[in-house]
Amino acid sequence: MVIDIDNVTKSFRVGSGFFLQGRKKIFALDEVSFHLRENEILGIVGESGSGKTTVARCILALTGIDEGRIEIHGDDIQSASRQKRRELRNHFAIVFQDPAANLNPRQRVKNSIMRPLILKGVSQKEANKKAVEAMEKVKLDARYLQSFPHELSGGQQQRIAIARALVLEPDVMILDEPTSALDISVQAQILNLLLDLQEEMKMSYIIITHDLNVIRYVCDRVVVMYMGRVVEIASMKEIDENPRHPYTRMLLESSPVLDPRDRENRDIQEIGEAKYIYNPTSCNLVGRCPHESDICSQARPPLEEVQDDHFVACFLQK
Amino acid sequence: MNTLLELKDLSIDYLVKDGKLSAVNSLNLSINRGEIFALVGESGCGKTTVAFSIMRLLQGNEQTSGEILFEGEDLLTLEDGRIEKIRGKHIGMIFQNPLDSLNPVYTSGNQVAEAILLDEKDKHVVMEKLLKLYEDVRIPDAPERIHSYPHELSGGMRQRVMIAMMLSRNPQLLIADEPTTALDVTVEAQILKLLKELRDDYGSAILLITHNFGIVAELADRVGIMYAGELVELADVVEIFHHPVHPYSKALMASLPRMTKEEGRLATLDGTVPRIIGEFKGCRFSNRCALAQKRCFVDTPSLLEIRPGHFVQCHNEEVLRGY
Repeated sequence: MVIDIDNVTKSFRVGSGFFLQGRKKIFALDEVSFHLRENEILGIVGESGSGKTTVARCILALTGIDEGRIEIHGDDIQSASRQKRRELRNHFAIVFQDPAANLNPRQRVKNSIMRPLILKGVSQKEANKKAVEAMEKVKLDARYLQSFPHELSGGQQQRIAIARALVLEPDVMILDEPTSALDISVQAQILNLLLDLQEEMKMSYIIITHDLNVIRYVCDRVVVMYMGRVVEIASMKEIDENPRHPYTRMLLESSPVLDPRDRENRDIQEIGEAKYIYNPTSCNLVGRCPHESDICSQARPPLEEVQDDHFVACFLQK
Repeated sequence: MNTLLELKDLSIDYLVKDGKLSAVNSLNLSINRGEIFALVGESGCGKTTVAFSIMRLLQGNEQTSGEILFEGEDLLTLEDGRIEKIRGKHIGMIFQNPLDSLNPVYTSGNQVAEAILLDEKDKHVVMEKLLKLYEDVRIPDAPERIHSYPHELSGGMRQRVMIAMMLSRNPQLLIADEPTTALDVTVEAQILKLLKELRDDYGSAILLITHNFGIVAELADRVGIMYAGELVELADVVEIFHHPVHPYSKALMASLPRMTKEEGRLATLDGTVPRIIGEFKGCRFSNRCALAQKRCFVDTPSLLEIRPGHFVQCHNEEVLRGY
């Protein structure tokens, strides 16, 4: 197992106005548990505010956690010393949504790619060589090393961001909405590139996105999150063919069809929007769930294995 | 006549440092009453320029030729006073980010009421109409919600307020420029459903501008695919998805993630969209087209009707026949 997340809780204190600050707690992550296996592409889906990006930040220990444990190859990253944390972070690379914000606009691409290597103490000459190799891997001509980010298209910028992520030879790549700022034909190029790289370099990916069509294409397993809690974990095939949690079904139904002939058969419910009211004694989906029963507002459903490797947090699945 | 809006030979050039940048080139299309027409293309293909030119909202650094006929009247030559009467009243528009379009210091109801007040002076009637609109766009607890400020509303609710504002004047044409890009999928699905229902209830035509084929498949009746400022294919939505003819449309359809990685890799398209400055001869897609012939680099193709209602802009006979 590459990453093991066990019962992690992370809350933020919020409130408006000077005196009210910190009175209210929002649980960005609430008893979250899942793991990442070797050589696996794991998707995390959920709406905005579901905590998907917070998970990534906690894995990298960019944010502290309230409770729980996050282990990287068996080492607890959150309680590790600074030195140890740095070492552990070497396993990771991260690529963000907006490729332009990823790169320093005043630095040539070459410097951006070489910087992590130089920081690690690699010699200038060696770093140069590795930068050229990384460009080859992402199928960009080496002459772009001399360009500035603004001279490149969105797809090229995203390739550069991936190239920079690759130079440290990570074994896990965390991709936060890697294609949502890109056009459809460019999205296909980047997704194919990611799949090729994963096979070639034997990496694991965590892909965070709200686009189920992208998840369906690239992922092996999927974690569905809703308001800070994991509601379902299963293989992509299972999620597609046999979604068990009502929220997962809602997501699948809402996801655009990509075939106009299917649109008449869809049943989109007026389910309202997520409300951020923390209630420790009920399921978060109460009020939006079509199958609600009494027990749902009396206790929280735990995440349980209902089938081999298929976990669901819902009372109605028992 | 069933035609509501007709673009005839519309060309728009932006005056830039190194000459005239061709953003839209001899575009011909028409939108019928009550129809949802989607104009699709990748960023920079000119789809938003078209929308803005219909509303006469371009900044003034452009040169426009051709005609935009709305109910037979050419919007391009109308005087400013007259176009202001058409804007909002006959053609409404919603944008990608509703927060940019709402005033943060007024309540949402206040802003919608302002639009209603343009046509209606009686305060009680305005209030009634306001509540009715909030119900029509499915905002729950309307009497409470009209007092909410934009920042107190969620993204989906803000977009609903914008739609209510637009509907308040009952326009015949709604222009929706990427209406759901800033929203979550579950909310997106609800807004799309709402737009469809409103078309049925109010009978307005919708010009949908988007790069998201999921939305197109969900909502559109007819689709126009734009590439580098030109319309390359125009057909019924099912035709576009199941029998695309133009090499660019085909490539786009093949790059949609509609399968799993076990089934193979998505097809991709090499190269980038050209930036066209000054005169251009030949097909604008020729530098990326696998089927390009000599002729494609010299002659500019025109839009041909290969089947009733299915138009394609391509020279290649085999492409046109290979339907």
